[in-house]
Amino acid sequence: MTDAFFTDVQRDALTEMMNLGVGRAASAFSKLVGDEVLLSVPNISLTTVSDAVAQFTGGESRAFAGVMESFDGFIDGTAALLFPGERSLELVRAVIGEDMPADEISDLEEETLAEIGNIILNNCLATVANALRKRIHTSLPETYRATGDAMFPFLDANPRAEANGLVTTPMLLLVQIDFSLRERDIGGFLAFLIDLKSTEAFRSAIDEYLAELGV
Amino acid sequence: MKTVLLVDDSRVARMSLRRSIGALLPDATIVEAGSADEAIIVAGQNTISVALIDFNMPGRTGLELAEELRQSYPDLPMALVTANIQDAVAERARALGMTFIPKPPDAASMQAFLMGDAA
Repeated sequence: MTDAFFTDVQRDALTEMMNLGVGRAASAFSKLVGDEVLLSVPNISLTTVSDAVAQFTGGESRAFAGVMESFDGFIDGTAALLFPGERSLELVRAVIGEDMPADEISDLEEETLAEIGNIILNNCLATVANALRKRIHTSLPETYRATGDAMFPFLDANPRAEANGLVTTPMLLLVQIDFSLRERDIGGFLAFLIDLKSTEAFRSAIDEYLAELGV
Repeated sequence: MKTVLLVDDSRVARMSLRRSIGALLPDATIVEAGSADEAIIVAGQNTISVALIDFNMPGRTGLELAEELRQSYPDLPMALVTANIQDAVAERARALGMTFIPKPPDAASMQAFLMGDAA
């Protein structure tokens, strides 16, 4: 199905690149936590912000812990890693170890989340840039907390206008991921908000890549 | 005995690197810096035998730091340790004579750097 942003073949190529990126991020992440956490193969979709908010909040006002980084280069935008806020401490524990006193863990929580986000987001973005032979620059990671429809606080989007069929918001590339933490699972997702003005550059970079493959 | 300079703005990243260096070189002295500017000061106060440097930091990047360190310490073994695994970043690191280590580093690449290149 051709959507507002990509043709079928362009979207296939992009999905393949994101799969590679998340695969790399997963292996980096498991090294970080000593193979105690597995990061599953993702489900990738291109969507609008309002649909994404509805999908992930399920109509409820859920709290999210997030890490975001802006990026610029051949495409501009913002990347974010989000997962349920109440579970983020478990992820932090897995990374820095269970043997640390509780007060020190909470002290390190934000920095640990930032580092997890940094590693996962950079691996994804760098893999896509490498595949397309383009360059991208990422900012330092920033952590944030969000509830419900404010889960993308960095976005100047207007979900209401979008719902009325007016495309005023950036393209949103959503990658669902699942952290398996021993017996427990923590579902999270990656969101890549790509500025509308970059859409054309993104399309032509993907076309160049496809041309090289002889597609 | 080795003195390892660890440069990363993330305290968590430094903790994790410290752990993996400790496992390979239990006798090494590890000195830390949270930025490029701090690293220059720490390098001046210690006799550094090897440096592990993050790429993306507030202020100057790890590559800019490495360029400056290279001028004062032409033979210092340096590694760029970063999650930014872009080919372009890796190439710039290699052009400065650095080892490129994807972050988080695995034991094999840390061992190859600390006990091979930098031995």
